[in-house]
Amino acid sequence: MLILASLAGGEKHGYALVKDVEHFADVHIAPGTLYEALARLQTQKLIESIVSDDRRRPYRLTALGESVLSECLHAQRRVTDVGMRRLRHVWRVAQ
Amino acid sequence: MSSSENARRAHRLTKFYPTAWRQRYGEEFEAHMEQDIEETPHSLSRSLNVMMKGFGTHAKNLTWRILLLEPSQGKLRNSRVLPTVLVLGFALSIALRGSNVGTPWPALILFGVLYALFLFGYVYDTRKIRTVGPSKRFSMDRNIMTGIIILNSGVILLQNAIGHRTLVLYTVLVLDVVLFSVRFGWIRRKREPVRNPLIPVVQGKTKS
Repeated sequence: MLILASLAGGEKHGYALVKDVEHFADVHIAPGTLYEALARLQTQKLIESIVSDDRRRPYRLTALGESVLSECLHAQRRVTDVGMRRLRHVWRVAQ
Repeated sequence: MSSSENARRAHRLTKFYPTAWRQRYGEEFEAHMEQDIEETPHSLSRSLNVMMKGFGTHAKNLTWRILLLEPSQGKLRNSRVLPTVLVLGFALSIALRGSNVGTPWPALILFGVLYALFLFGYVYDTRKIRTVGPSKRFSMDRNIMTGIIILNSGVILLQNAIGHRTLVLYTVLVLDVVLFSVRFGWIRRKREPVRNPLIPVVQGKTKS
């Protein structure tokens, strides 16, 4: 999800992706974990690699990846909304 | 630390991964590692992470090589899988000869082990890598494997109930060899590869 969210901002190679995730989510992805996830996402056709002359191969979101990310984010927003509503209710009762 | 030293360290760490994986991701992974090493020269957690993921990829690759059969690797696979099945079968027959007659435990344990292998190879990995699952060929192969597992367990359960364990066990071994041969033959005839899901397709071609 973090990788998909990062790639939604444009194509990136592995290192740029790690830095971006660190910046917006404050999560560090170790190299082994990153490439395991990249391989899985590529097999699921959620991302694709772009041919490049550089050793560092950039990745971008596919159309399927975009829709999966959007679906996940909407689901998360629903959970966040419900959680916040319930918390507000608890806080009101406590006051 | 010099960039050549960083490159050497990155190269060493990449060697924890299988060759097929390195052919696909090796170069970019090394470039990534070099930058990472430059930023944080010494990190135990990074080295451990790469080692663990490397071994994990080896384990998954091995499972796929044993359970999934590609025509291009038919001979290699036959040379690996058949002896493994035979050796395990004989070892099992010896182990079962020493156990109590009438108890279903050896058969149940065998069933558990075989089914765990099956679950790991077919279900766990394909759930994780969902796009590979639905192929008709894959499903047929999975069904044949399930058939072999059920047959093995069923016959061994039966021999626990009726006795004649040596005869029954050798019958199981012969049946296994026949079934595996049919499976290999069928897959060789089909000529279309069962793709290893650990090596994704790049620009329309599968690098292996």
